[in-house]
Amino acid sequence: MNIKIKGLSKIYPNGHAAIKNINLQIGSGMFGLLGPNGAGKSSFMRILVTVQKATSGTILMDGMDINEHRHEIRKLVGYLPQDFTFFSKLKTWEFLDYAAQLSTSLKRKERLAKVDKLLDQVGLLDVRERMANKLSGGMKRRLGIAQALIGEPRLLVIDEPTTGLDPEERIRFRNILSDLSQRDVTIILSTHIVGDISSTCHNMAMLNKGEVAFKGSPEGMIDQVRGHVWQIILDDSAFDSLKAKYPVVSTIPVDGKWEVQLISNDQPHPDAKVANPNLEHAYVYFMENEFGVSLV
Amino acid sequence: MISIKNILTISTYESKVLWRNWFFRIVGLAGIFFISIFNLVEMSSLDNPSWWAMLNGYVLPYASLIFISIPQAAAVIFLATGLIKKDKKLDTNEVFFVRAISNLDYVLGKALAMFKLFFLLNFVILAIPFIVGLTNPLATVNPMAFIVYPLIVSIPNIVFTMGISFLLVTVIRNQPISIVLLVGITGVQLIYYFDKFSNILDFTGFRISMLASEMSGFVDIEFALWQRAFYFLTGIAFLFLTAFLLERLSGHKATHRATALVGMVLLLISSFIMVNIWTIRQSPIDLRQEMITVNGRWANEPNLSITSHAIALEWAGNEIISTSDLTLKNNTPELLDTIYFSLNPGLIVDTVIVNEAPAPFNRDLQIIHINNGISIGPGQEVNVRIKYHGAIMQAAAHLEVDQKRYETSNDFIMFSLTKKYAFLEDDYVLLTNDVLWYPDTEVGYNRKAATKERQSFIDFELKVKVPEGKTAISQGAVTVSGDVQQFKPEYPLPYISLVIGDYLKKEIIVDSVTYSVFHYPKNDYFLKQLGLIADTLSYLITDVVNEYEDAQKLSYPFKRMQFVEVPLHFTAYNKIYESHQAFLQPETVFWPEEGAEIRQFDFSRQLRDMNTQAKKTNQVLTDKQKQANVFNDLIRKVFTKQIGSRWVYDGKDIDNPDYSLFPNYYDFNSGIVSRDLAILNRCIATYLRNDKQVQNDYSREINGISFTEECNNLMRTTPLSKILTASDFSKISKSVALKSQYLFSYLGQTLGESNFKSFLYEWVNKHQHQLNSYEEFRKAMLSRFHVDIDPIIRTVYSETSQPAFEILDVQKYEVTDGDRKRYQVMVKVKNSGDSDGVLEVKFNHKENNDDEDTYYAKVNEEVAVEAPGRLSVIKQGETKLFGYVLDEKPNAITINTIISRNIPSVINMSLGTLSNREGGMLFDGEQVVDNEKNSAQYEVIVDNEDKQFTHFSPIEPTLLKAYLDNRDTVVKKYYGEWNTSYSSWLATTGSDFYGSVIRSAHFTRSGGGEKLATWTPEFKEEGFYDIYVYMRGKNQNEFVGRESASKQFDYNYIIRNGDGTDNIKYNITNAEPGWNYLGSYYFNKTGGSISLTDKCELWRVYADAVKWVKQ
Repeated sequence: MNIKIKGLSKIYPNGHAAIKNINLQIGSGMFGLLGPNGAGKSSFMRILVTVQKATSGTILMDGMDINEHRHEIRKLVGYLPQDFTFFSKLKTWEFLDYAAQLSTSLKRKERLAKVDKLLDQVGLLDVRERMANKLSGGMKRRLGIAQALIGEPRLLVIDEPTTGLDPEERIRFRNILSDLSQRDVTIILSTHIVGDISSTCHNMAMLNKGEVAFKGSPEGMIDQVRGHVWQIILDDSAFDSLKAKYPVVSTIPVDGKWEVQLISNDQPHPDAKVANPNLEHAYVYFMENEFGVSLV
Repeated sequence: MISIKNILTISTYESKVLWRNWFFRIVGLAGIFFISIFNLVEMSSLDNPSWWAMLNGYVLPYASLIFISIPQAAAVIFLATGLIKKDKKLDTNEVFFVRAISNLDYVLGKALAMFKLFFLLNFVILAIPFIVGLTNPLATVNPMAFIVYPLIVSIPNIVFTMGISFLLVTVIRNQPISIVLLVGITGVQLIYYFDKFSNILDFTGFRISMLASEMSGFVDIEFALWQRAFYFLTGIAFLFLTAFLLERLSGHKATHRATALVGMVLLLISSFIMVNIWTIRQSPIDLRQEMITVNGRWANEPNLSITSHAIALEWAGNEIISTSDLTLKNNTPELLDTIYFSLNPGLIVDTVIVNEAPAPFNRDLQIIHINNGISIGPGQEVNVRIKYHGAIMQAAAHLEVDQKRYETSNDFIMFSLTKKYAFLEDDYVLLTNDVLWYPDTEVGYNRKAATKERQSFIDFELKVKVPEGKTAISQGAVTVSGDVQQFKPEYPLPYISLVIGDYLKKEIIVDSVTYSVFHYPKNDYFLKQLGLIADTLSYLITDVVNEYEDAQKLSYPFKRMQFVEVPLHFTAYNKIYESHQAFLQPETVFWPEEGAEIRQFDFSRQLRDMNTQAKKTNQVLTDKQKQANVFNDLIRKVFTKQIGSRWVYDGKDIDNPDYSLFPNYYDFNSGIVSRDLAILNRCIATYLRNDKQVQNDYSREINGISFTEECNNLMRTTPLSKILTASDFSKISKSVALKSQYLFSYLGQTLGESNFKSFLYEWVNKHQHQLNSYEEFRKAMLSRFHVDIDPIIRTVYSETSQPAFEILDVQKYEVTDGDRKRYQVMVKVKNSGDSDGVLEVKFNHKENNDDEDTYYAKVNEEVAVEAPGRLSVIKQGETKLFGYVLDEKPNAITINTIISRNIPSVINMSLGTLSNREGGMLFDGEQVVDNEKNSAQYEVIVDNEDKQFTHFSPIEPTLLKAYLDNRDTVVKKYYGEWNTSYSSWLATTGSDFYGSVIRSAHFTRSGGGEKLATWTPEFKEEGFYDIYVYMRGKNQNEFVGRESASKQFDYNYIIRNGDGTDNIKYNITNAEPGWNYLGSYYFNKTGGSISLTDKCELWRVYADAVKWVKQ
């Protein structure tokens, strides 16, 4: 699916501008949407899945205007919202079957087979009879992804899928997404966890305060920060003085001292060495730029 | 726009969710439990089931559904608001919002889910009466009821409640506020608008009349069906509007707009339905007003009288086709150029032929008038033939009944029945003269002139063409030829009635009167339950008739007496100028379908009670005797009224059905009629009718004064003529009864009681089957008694002045008269009012006890023949001493002042202990005495009515009580004892309180001693005084329970006297009725006081009067 987003803005009645003039083009495959909490990711995604309306701007999905063809677009969309925790009293399989009935026209037998297959895929077949609200957080997320997938959507929008999951669940979830991205599906994944993007997405955008701070590939984003990440071993007093000046990405205690990684346009300390950047460094780099801290 | 598949999917899963909701489960289980108990108790053969529950197959399914209708509405409100609200926490909702479903699919799916569950619950509820009904051989199970009621009761209720809940929570976006609002709306409807506006607002279907009759099916159901359709459609419209306003982006703009449009169109249609409902309600009301106006235009126009009337009628479904051949006579002294008839406005007049020639006529609603070429001299006769056809407009009946009364519910168990005054259905006909089904030359009710009563009876004849298998019932001997049934009454009658239906007839001839019971084929339960008395029925009837005719001193004037079963919905009213309801027709009494809820028709329960009663009194009764008792109880309580009811709330329930047979003895047989004293004949009927009176009236216990006293107060300010046209019917009825009692008692006293009575009975017996003019009667009275009764009658009717009786002294002795004990009671009474008055004095010899027998009626109880009271006239300003010599010890004396200023107007005094007297003269009679009270001792009495009586309460009423009191707009002086106040002392009235004309006391609920009632005397002389307090008797007559017979109760007095303050406890357990000695104290001239506190272990404390007698 080809999604063209032009000049998209959302201003809530209280005057808060959640997103401002977003222009993006998203093709097939996994698309990561990175940004801190409150950056406007959820608003953006809710607009994408027709749950809410933009204040201005257009979104074309395969040429269809989202405002004009909401019904048709809904047929193509699967959505996993951010808080997918509170269920009405339905069993796991019932919940999925409810979604299946609304999004497919399969006969009962086939539909139920599909439900079970999907439950198997997301590892929930053993708990198919369990009430959905009695599932663990990770299971609920997986059920969420299953219900989003049940209609075989061409656009899958997943909002903050790994928040609150333990590492094992998170890896499992990423794997499911990786499998999916092999198909001809556009997956938009929003997160504030950098690892989610770096391990799965080939394309991404970074939102900050409702604006696109970066768009491109994760590698491209890392490239932008190359030469700006420094690694250095410091004692307490030196660490304290640098900490106040530069955004610190990581600190590891080493023999009573600190191995510190920080972001700076210039060499922050005579002993500092350029480090190999990763997406997290890039994220911090862009964030700090946005926050207006001067990187000396 | 709508996807059935989506709706069904949503409904399937949402109903699963609801099904798992604990609230729904609790409500459902509670409903099933309650309805099961209700059905088992009322209808199952486990218990002794109620007859009302079994007689009609519609009752229990309908009752079960309406019992749950209100809780169901509440449950729907709670669940529906939860179902549609958009909870921020429930993001799982959003994954469904992004599905390709329309908003309407979403709302309708949820609605359907909810509807399915509640409808299922209704079916489970309905299964209960079905199963219970099938297991009881006596019960009627009507499959139709199980299909119809869910459709018309439950569906509109669920759909509307759901629609309005969805819409409100969508608009307000707050579930708690929506619930409060909706529950509030339901509450307001139930409390403020209960039975108002013909129950148009009753969306739960709790009261709107939908009960069918097993005889005539659903009657006039149109109104209820429209009302249910309105709520159903409005509910659906609300669902569409909810979908329109739902906080979810619509799939298509066009769909969105279409949803709103359909919602609005549905709303528009339901508005039209509402207009239609309003018209159905309003048009009879308007028609009645117009008819009254038309009557007013004709009321003073002289007209011919009917001497004979032959009606040929064909029943054609909802119409009749009739021809009336009338012989009319000019009984006026004038030459008349107009003839007019009253006829139901629904009947269309085809032709009028006067003396063989067609006559043009004009129509003014119910009045048809002919004035072209008419000239009929006094005494001249004319023949008129009128052909007419059409339907009957029921609204034409009972025009004198005001709107409030007309719209009062017709209660049957918990249902409010449609009021039917006539039936002209495909399969059933019931017509009484109230609906003017044949032409009459009298004019009905109007406000311009007093209604003019018929001056002569009519020779009727009726030919009815009925379909095969149907039975017609009317007056007179019947002959059948082919499909025509012809009725020829032997005597002239005031009017006739016609009933046609699938009747079966059972008859028996006793003493040349044919007694017949007409019943519907299925309704023969009385044959099964009272089958054993068949062979003794004639003896039973003879006994009952003898008892009745002895009491009435009149004999039955007709050849037949027909008891005709009529549908439940048939309704009648008490009337102003007639002393009977439409249930009574000449030779005929209409009894309600299978006895309806009249206890005496519930034979199985009556038999059970009979058994219990027999066991209690160690009687051994055969089954036959029991059945005979049950039969007698029915006849004597319902039809001959020789067993009075136990309790009545006088002034209320004025239109309770009255099946008394008395009109057949007097009203349909004789009468003394007067054009300008229209009320006279009714007064005579009231006077002659010797039905047993209701034994206890509790209007005083509720209102503070009795209903009679309320009417006496009214008659003191308003002449009867005005009361007749401008008061509530209950007051009209009571005032007329009181006036007639007063008038005839007064006449009796003036002319000699027994002479007058025997003259009256002789008159009736001599003038059978005819009406006589008041002038003839007056002349006959004049020649017999040499007294012109006219001025007396007119004075009594017009006067507003009333006597006031002061009972100055009551002396009572047990006298040993030789070897026999006799009892002498002497009462001195002064009439201090402003007119002459009549007193009736009776004695009660029975010990007063709080046995349950006093409260519960027994089956066929023997009523002790009550000695007639002694009547006396006391002229204005006169004081009379009455002496009574009795052979049996009197326990109480009852002085009925009939019309007076007295409160209570009937004084019932306990006589207490009688003092012994050896020999001496016994005085039996009355004499005028001087009214000076000759007391040698100086005494001061302070009554609660006096200025010197004060009361004090520091207790504030509760908020609820204050609110309820505020709602009472009428300023009341007296309060009923059943509304005992905790926060204040209130005045109430009663025979056993102290007072001269008004006997009252203050009372309050017992408390901790904070509330005080204080008597502060003003003395002329200082010195030692004996103090007496006025008491009602033992424990102030309060029932204290059988267990606590030995318990002692005290009143607490604070006596402020010349020597200081004394607090005393006064034991009232054995107080005598009247003055009781409290103690002796020294009082200064400056006074002192006595206070009574509210501290007592009894429920109430009474503060009445205190007497200081100087030693």
